[in-house]
Amino acid sequence: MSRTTTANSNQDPSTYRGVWIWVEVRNGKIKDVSLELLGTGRKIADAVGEPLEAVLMGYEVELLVGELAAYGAEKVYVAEHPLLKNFASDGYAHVLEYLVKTKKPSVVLLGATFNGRELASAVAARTNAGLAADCITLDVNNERQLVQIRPDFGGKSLSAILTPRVRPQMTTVRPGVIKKSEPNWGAKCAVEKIESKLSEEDIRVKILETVEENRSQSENIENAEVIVSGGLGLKTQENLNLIENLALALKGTVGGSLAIVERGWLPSMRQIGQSGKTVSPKLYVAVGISGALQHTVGMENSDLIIAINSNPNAPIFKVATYGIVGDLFQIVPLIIKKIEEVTGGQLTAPVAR
Amino acid sequence: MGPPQAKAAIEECLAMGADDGIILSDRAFAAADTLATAYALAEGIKKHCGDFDLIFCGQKAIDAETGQVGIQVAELLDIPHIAYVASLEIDAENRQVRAKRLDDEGYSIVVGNIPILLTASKFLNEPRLPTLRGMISAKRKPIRIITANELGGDQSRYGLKGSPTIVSRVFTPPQRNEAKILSKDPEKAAEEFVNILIEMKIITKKQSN
Repeated sequence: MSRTTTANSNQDPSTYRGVWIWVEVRNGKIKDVSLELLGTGRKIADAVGEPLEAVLMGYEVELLVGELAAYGAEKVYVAEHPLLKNFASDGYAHVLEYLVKTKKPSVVLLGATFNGRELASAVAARTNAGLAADCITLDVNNERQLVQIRPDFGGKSLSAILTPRVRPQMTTVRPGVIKKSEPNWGAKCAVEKIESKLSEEDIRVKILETVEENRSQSENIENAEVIVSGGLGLKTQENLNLIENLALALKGTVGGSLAIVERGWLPSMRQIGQSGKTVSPKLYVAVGISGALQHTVGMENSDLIIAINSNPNAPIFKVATYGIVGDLFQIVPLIIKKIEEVTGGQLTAPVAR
Repeated sequence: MGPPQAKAAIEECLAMGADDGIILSDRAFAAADTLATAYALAEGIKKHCGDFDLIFCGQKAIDAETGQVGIQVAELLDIPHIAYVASLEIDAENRQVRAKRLDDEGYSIVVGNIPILLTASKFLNEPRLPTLRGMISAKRKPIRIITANELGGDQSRYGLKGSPTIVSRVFTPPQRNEAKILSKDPEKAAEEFVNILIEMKIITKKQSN
């Protein structure tokens, strides 16, 4: 495909139609974020009166169509090719670019995973599309334009982004931001198979080997039912042991704010927030966290939020269900002691959702 | 690409060992989104960086953290790119690079031919600090400032005009209900906390015999 897209080639939005989800597959399974996006895609498609369609690329992936139909896709474009077996930007961008230019969707949504963000950037450049990364909400306005909302650079407010003149309107959304809809197993959808004329030369960066790093269950914070999270109110790294002990008492996982991860107190995989993970556990305990917007967008959908902070005006109290205003160094040990008293110091029962 | 203040950033690079610097600076470049920024940078590289071998970009900038510009520059230059680079080996003889490319599940080892663009993850290295000597010699190194007209290219693709996306408004999130504040007394508050846990079935009260 020619790299020299002229700036004017996609400036008639009225000729574009269709809300698309790019489906990310890993080890033969559809990633949750793609299914989450189908849910929000449905709302957008209904609001603009256009079909909801999915783009499935890979090798021997057609059997996944049923799951996409169950989550709401009316049609799936299936592009299979041995060279698409593993994600490579060149191969995937080549196919998605071709599809965007020939089928002309008005919206393309991708999960903001490593691969999704790379693919979105590459395709937006190739098609001269507008791309907004890491959006937390998607809306449709009266002009049937996609309104992409994300925290702004200062982290104190939200920005609404529009792509008024060109199509498609592209967005990446982080995993966990949107809750999956209920699937309708047995739902049917249309399938269009796409012939991808890919050759080895089209894929300029070759993969020599792929290594999966085993993350133990306890480290997978996105699946945790209980998260105890610490912020700068802890004052020193050593005081993290308060968080660890409370997490232990609650059979939960330790998380942290951007501020403490930046200081190296916790690894980045435990960071909750806009530039970290988005979580929605049954219980989120925020200890010594002020509650800046870039943090709260990562945890505000938790079922129950309890915040402990010495500052009664801390913004975290606007997001929490319950709050304790006081000295965490006094309160957290009291809570742990109380838990041990009440449970007889025994291991707590596993949490049922 | 940046306003005149960007000179300070270039000077820091020169002090860290770069040989020369270029700033694309013009009102016409202002309010550019990532695509318009990438277009300007690509034009600048095409016209002023000759037969480059490697282009390094940060994975993402600290303002919007979109992580888009580097990849888009590569696409506009029609060169391959490797994103999320955590380690890098250069095989100059075979004009190839070999990199560890991070992903959500771990990483891949990939190879690509030069010329190539790389986006550096924070794991790639520790940046060296500018030395005093570096800062002094930086003052003697050339920094060119290039305007939109001098740059040439399709002027309609720079700045606000060339940006497919715009920020239509900035607003504060809607007010929610404030948290229910528990007792001021720490002991009581701890008790109330634990009662909530029991209610939520997150912990279970021991059975008294």
